[in-house]
Amino acid sequence: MKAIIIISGLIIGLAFGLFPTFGKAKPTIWRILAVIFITFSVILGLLPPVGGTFYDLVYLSKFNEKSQLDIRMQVLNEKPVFDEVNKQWNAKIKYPDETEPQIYNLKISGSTFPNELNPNNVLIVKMEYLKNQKSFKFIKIVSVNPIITLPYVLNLGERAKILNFHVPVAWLSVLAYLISMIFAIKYLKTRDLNNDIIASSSAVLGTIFCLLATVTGMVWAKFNWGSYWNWDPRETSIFVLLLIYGAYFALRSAIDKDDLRARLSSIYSIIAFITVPFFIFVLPRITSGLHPGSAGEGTAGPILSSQSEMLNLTKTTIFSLCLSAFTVIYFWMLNISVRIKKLQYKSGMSL
Amino acid sequence: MQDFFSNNSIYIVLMIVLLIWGGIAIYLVILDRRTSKLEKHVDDNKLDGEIE
Repeated sequence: MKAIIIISGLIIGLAFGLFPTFGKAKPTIWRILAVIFITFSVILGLLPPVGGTFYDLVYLSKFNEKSQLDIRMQVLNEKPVFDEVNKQWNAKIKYPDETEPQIYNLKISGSTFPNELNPNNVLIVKMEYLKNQKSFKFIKIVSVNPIITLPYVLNLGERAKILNFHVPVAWLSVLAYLISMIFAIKYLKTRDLNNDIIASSSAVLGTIFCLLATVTGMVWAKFNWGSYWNWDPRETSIFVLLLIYGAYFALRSAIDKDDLRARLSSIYSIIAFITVPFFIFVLPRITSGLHPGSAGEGTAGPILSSQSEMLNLTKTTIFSLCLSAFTVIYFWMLNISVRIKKLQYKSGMSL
Repeated sequence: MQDFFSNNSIYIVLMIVLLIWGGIAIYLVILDRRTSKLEKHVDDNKLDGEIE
């Protein structure tokens, strides 16, 4: 099921991006739809709140004296009352999934959000747990009746949403290098310079996405693993990939003649792509390291693993949507840069 | 600052999304500048008739 959702997201992105033209200007309706689709996917990837349980909060407190978490609660059948004097809500709330629920009084002072609370509303409340006093404290109401709530993942929490952005960028770099290889093979068969233009533009985009994946991975690593760079196998392999394609650009800039440059860089692109799936998908999974999916963990990582507790269906759908959005972004950028290069060739401008 | 980010992790997600958007935006600006140079070149050399 998970595989079907992710693959269909990729196919939707591919179809949207390749249709209706590849090397010519896209129609205006396509551009409008693409902007709406990308905006919608990014918002959906960022906004849904994460709602945990009490048990997550108490477990977190094993690592810290004080821990904070957003918890899903439900208002009971009594209508909540807003106390104007102390500026706090007086409501009886319970944890929604418990059969014999503990009932809490919600007291959040200093905040007038939300304007209205009704019985049976679902709330996401930020709570703090002090380990020494074993007391729960309500800090603020994060949202009321959210349409989508994501489950809490240990060690990650809100940061699990980075999955929707960091992973598609990395997978897109593989797609970009693949397209670069396909058009390099086409060039060698037909000796048509248009194919070389597409191959080199795609390699540029692939390197940009690879660099973005590295940088976003570094920022994520700072907050999860403690430092920006750890020479983890996954980090090392993506660095080597950047070096390999850096050599591709060095090769291209060293040759003046168009056809010679196209021929040599096509050959290099084909050979370089052979290493890409190994560095991105295979090597980090056969060595042990910090990144999810490494050898000691027993799963192939949260997205490719078949275990359903790593990503539930909601998260998989949101991930798949973000993957399609990034695929559309990639094809659009490829389209623009190919058109510019073709114009440069036609008008005789030096590149 | 570490505490603030640990408690409000959504800002870490925001930073990463802004980084990705920043990288794409820089590339788009580069492309835009190249297009402007190309347009200037075409106008200066009156190459309009040669381009489809």
